[in-house]
Amino acid sequence: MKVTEIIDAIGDIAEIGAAFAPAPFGLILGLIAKNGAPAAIKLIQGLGKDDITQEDIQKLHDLVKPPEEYFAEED
Amino acid sequence: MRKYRSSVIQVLVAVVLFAAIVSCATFKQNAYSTLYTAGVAYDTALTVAGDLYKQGKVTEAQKVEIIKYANPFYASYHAAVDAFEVWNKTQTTTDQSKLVTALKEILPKLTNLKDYLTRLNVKGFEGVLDKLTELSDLILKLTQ
Repeated sequence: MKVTEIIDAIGDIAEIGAAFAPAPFGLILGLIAKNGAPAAIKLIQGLGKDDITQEDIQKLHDLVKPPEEYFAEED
Repeated sequence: MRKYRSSVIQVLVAVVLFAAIVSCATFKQNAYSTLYTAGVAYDTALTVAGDLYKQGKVTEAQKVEIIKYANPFYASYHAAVDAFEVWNKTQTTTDQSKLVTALKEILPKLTNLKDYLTRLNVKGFEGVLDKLTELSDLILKLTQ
């Protein structure tokens, strides 16, 4: 089972998990509960890297956009 | 009941998977995890801020202030990623030291952003602020 599938599967009981699980596990579950699965998936995928490539470093750059972009109206 | 039990097992699998991931950390992984965690924290906070602005819950003046507090993080984060890239190529102790210094620069900038978002007291930020605090704690542990 892929991590994303697990995250999707636990989405409906994330609030329960967040209440019982200690940090940082609670953090992951709490992220799901409060902000949806994408933020938690990003975190798990990022922390799971053991062979870091140039492409992964580029992803770090791509992750953090200039603040103005977050407030721009979408086309 | 069976569905609930199945879901609990899936939660446990996710927790064990995460524990396995964080337990085998090296300096390289810690540095990468620190950057990734900080990046996700910033991206999540700014995404929520942007959404609230589009909903009219964050004013133009507040947007300007958020950007003012976000810019130092943005700069220090990318400087740290650059330092990570350099160290990843050279693997020298000098570049490792520069990377550690750059990583430690990130946290105060993220804290300043979080503190400003807290002072804003905008409805909708509560959950994000809690998570920012937890992510900040995680970054602190990773950089110690």
